[in-house]
Amino acid sequence: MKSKKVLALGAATAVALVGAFAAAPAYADPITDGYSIVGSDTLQDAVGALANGTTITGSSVKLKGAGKSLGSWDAFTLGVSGGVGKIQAKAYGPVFDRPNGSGAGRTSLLRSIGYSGSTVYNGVDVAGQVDFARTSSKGTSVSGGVLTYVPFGQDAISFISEVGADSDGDGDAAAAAAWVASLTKAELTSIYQSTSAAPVAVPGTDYVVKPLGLQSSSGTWTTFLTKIGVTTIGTGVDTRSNSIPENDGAQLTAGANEIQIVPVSAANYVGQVNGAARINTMAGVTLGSIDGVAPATGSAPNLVPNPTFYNSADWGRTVFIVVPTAKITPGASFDQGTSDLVNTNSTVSLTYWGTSNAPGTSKAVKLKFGFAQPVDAAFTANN
Amino acid sequence: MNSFIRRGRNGLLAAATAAVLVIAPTMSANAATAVEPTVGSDKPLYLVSPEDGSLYPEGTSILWGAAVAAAPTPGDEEYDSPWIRPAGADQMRQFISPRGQERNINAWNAYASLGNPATNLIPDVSGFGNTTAGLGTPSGAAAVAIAGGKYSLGVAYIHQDTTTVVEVNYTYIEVTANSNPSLATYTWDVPEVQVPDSAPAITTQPASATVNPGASATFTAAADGKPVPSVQWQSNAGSGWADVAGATNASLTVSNTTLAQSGTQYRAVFTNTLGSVTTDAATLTVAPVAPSKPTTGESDIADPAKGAQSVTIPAGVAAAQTVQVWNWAGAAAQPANLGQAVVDADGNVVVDIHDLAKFPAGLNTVAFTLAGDSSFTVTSWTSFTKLSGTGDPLTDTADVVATVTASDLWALEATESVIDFGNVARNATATASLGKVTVIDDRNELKGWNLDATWGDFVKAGTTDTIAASNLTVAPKFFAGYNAIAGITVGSGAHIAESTPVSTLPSGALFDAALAFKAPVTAQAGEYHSTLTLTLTTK
Repeated sequence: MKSKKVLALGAATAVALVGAFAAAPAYADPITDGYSIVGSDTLQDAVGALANGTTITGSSVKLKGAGKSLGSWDAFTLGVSGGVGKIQAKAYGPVFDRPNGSGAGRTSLLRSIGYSGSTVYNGVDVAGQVDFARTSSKGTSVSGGVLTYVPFGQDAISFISEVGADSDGDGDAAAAAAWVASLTKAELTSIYQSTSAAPVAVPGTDYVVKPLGLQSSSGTWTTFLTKIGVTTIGTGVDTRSNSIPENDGAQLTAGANEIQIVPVSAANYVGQVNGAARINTMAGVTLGSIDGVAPATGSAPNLVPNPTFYNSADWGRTVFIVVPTAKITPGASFDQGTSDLVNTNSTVSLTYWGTSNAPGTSKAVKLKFGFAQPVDAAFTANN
Repeated sequence: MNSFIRRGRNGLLAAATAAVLVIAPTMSANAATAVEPTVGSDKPLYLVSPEDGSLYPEGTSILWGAAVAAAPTPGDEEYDSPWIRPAGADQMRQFISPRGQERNINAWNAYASLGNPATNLIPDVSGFGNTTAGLGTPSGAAAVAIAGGKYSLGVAYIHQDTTTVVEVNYTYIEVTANSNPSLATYTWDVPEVQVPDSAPAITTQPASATVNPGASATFTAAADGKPVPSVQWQSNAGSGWADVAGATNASLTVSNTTLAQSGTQYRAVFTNTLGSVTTDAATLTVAPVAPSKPTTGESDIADPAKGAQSVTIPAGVAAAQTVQVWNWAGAAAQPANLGQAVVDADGNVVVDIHDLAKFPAGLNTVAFTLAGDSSFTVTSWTSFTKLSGTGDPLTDTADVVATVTASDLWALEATESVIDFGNVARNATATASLGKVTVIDDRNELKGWNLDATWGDFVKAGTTDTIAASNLTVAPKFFAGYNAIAGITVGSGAHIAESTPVSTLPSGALFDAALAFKAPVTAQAGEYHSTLTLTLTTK
């Protein structure tokens, strides 16, 4: 007699597989066998191009450290609710929250080296998973700090604006556009302290200004507020529940008789309109001058940073690559590849700013992305 | 005595500067070995600076991890000489391969993608930048650095689907192995500048020649061209041009010319793969320009007495005729033309023989031809032996006495007492001069001497940190401007110089040395001291 067996295993197995996927990354970022870098999105396009390889300067440029490649993870996942999602950085490594800005990047790096005894980042053990962090804000300078901040380039903070339709047809859109193209620091301060009941009106027009706020872990946002002297933003500032990403011109959705403005990294604006960045979100928005000084001169695709604006204490800022000090200092933890990638004397490091004008250097790539010669020097910190 | 001081560099990123781009060679004999010329590359590949596109000179060495760029021209300082993607390629790569295997992707040691740009300016082709291990042996850029040896390094345009190489451009490299790949170095071949092919072009036309019958005439021509053109001489004796058998050199010599050959034209045809060019025609004229040396019918006259000023020779023609006077001195084949003379009333010519240049001692053969006779028919001739007019050799003796004196000096002096290399970064080499060192050996009894240098480890005061003495190299030489006396020689390394038993004279023998100090990557920062001792010992 033949027996019949029913294969019930198939159905049970299928259910188990669905459950396992829930913890996986939102979409397929690559992992690296080499070095990983996370953090600020101000530098992410430029660092991403250097890590993945770019020919935008007319020469092939792809950074390597002692024979190993660099993998760069963006700060923000477009399309994912909240924009953060999860990443896996290294082969067989843990899946952990995507560090979504300068502060998060540095925190994940500190946990990766087990500073102050803990390697847990947002509930996940990330020992050895993060090698470098991108940052547009600074930790507190401390002699002998465990983190070394090496200058990546000079950026500047300005704002972008979009002028909405002239709903009552009285022809004042042009005047509104002319006004918002150049604002004073005092005007920016009052705009970001304005209330929803009493927004700032554009003189001589019936346009009002609606300021947008970037998501709270953004270095650009916190630096901007410091630079205009605002500690508490007014109720008129729309943060869209703390979800607005940096450097995205598409976030400006000015309604009728309305101007929307949002802080922006001048380097990112230049990089996008020059065609260096992956996409250009800046069509239809205007880069604002502050106190009569324009952040950039020329026209796309050869827009260049304006040194007067970039080097000013008011609006300029040096952005950095953060690396564990022990890995670049002779000793037990010294790593040649890590050291190579931040060697300021090497034309193919993240941090080269020598006198060269050659197209095959990281400096040439960074210039295309709107960064200029850094002003600040390297320093160490514990945060 | 001399001592060395080294100051270390303090600073946050001192370690980060360890990856020096290029190491200049220390002055040793080994630096002269060149890498063999690259064979088989589609285009020459030149290694240039990634900072300014200037050509790296032959003989320098590069660290495996240092950035280095590649250009198709010997330098690209205007950034306008890119690599150009050939048709059929869809990816550009940098690679390292065994020599001879550059077109075999499956034999490559290591490689990395350079993308697929239509043009590429001075891309980085660093050794350690080849991040993908190949299927060849050794496999991987680190393995190549650890093994050392001879390889090819360059760029290739490939077709990915069929894994074929469409174009490959490379240079031969020699890797000096190091168990730490980041410290391995390599030298490379700088290709000769490629000169494009060109059709032959005449640079030297052959010149016509007039010679005596029996003499030789040589015709020479030259032409440029690449490849080097071959030559074929042709002659035309009146019935058209024909090749001269075997005449395939730049020069053609026609020997033992005869009167019948006079008027023959010669020309050279130069040929290479791009074409052919013919020189103008040169004409050979064979005509007597002087009489042939007579052998029969001599007019016999007595040899002139010692000191005689002239000799009288029958002219063979009537009195008052003008004759051309010829003299063969000794065994000369061609005579000297001594001008004209008039036959006297007795039918003789009195020839003035006092001039030693025209009539040297020994056999002289004098002949006459009629002035204006272009056939140079000898009318009369004679030969005689002329005795020396200056007298017999004299001998005399003199006792030559000289007394040699010596200062009996024996001394060693060195100009510098402190040699400071200044700040030296880790893995960098600083150079300094030893300074003038004077050895005086003017002893009454010469025995020869040796001059040697010794030095100890470099120590940082107050610590046990040391840098081994072997990090200092010494390359001795003569001091600039000093002309060495034979027997005094410069040594190498710690053996500065030596001498056979010869005096340096009281002014002394002057030496110098090029010192090179290399700071190890493991050194602690700070100031290090060592003492160098020079010792002069007699043999």
